[in-house]
Amino acid sequence: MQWLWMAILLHVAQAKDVDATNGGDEVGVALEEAPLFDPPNAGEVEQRTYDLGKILRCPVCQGLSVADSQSDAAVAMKNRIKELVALGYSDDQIIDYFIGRYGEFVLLQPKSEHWFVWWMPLLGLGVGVGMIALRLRSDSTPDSESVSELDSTSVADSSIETDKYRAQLLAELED
Amino acid sequence: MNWKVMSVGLLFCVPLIFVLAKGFNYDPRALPEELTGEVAPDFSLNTLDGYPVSLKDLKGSIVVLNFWATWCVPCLQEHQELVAAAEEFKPKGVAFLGVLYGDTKAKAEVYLKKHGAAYPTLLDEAQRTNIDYGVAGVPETFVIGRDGKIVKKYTGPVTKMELEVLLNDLLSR
Repeated sequence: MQWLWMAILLHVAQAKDVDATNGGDEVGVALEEAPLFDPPNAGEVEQRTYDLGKILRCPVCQGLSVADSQSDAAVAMKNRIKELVALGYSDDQIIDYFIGRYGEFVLLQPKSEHWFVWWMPLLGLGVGVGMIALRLRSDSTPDSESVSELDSTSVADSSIETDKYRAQLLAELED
Repeated sequence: MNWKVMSVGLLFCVPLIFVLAKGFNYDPRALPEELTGEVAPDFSLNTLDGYPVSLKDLKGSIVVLNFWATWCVPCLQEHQELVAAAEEFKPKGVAFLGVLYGDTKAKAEVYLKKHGAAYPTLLDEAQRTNIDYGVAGVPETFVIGRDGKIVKKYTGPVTKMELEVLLNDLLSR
């Protein structure tokens, strides 16, 4: 294993020269932005960690939130949330941090700006109720209207053969 | 033709066909690649042997970062491919690193002794690096360019051929 490490060291030695010229970021920086708030008290840290855990999806579970899962990945995410909350990061900053890594997939509920997802079920429900209401209304109207309409308009234009069938149909309807 | 029925039918069918057509082009197993093109999150982790490695120290090098676990079957599938790629590209200045995902040092040592190792594996006991890279399962492999930005993320087992194409391209730049 020693020789493997030597290969890495070789890279490190080369890279350090580059880094010296470029500066380099601080190791372990939590987020690109600075925390918005002062570090909160322990009680608030626990509560906000739980609340944020309920919003975020455990990436290795089936539809479970980070707060509800006991998987290693979820526990690690909870620890990360706690760490960021304790540093004074806002909820939005923390959510954005996770979205920046896992995509919006990490949110258990879609963002409010995706209005389509939120309103489509209600729209669908409205259309469905409307269609049922229309259907019920048309069912309650008397059939005689349509029969007389059929009788007065179409029959006159029909051939003798069609008239025969139409007469039979009307007879059956009257029964 | 009953235009009323026709228009109501179209009102429902056209959006439905549109949604289905879009859905057929969507891979439900595809994971987001939020970090591609972004600066790779820094980390400072120890190898199984206890040597500290920081990504910052590798700045200026092309880095292949593979997240894996001993319990992961696809990881075994890609292991020999990665070993072969590492043997080919390490002399050309590409750094290969493994990061252990949700696993133990002891199991990793046994695994690497059995299946061979061509590059160091890092221990991420707090799983902080896994989260920083948005790893949602293993294996996932990130290729980081000389500028420190993530060039490509492979979800699932990666092949030597895929890496060859990308690494040769990056080395020629």
